[in-house]
Amino acid sequence: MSVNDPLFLNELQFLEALKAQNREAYAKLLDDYQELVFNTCLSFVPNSEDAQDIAQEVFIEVYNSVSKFRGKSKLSTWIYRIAVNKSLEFIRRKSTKKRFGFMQSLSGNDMPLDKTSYFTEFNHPGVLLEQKEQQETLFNAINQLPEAQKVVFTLHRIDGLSYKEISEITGRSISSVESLLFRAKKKLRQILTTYYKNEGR
Amino acid sequence: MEPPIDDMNDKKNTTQIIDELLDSNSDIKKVAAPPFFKERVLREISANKENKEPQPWMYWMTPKFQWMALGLFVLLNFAVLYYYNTSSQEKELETFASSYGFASSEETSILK
Repeated sequence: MSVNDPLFLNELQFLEALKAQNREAYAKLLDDYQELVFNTCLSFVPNSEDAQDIAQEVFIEVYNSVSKFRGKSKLSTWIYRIAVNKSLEFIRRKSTKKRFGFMQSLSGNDMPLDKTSYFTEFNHPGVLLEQKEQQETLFNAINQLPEAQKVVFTLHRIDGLSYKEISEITGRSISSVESLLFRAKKKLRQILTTYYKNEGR
Repeated sequence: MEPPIDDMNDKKNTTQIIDELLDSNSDIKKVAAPPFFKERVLREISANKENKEPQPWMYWMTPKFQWMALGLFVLLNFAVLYYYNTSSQEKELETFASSYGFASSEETSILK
């Protein structure tokens, strides 16, 4: 079966080809989804090299577990889910490494915004140079949010997904997504107000 | 007492900055995947495939199948036991009957 085969236009056939580990089907999957996966990873981990590594892990995971995919959700939703999970895993791993000292582990999320404690070097290729500092502050603040709020806020405000799409990816109801987003914004305001107060603005 | 005008301006300024910051996310541009990303992933997958360890013996025997096999084994055992008990009961009865001369074959022989 070749990529130009009209059977590939049918998602079911495409899935079957993926499950059969057809290389051409997999190349098509990469063509279709590499940008989406890379940008999603960047939204969570704003560092080009790190995001690239995570995106690669995502596609390897897709390759290894596509046989378990039952097609209950859209393929894109499933891939999004893997990308989000891999990104969160990366953040957890890096944050544990970065967390040093007894005091910091005791105070956990309530630490004041400190750019040096961010889990990666901020290097988002989609951010303009003049906005870099502003965006770095925002990403730092997002990182202080509880994980569920972080996911919803990032998918909505950074990745630009709708409530419905977020609800499908996270498996939460739309009202739960709205509520998490509301709480995330409230908490972000709180974090950023403290930050700017300390900065002497 | 009303707060000084400077303080009010500062507060407004900070709120404005935060509002702008929370709304400025749309300024983040979507970027293309890095060059040769696809090739890198495909190469990595091929390498993983080659290095993949052979699957263990009876890898398909997942816990679900193990439970099913156990259930079948127990069921089979009960069936055999039941069958054995029934047939041995009959045999015992036959032995008992023949030793006390109640066996149908003997009765017939007497009548004869």
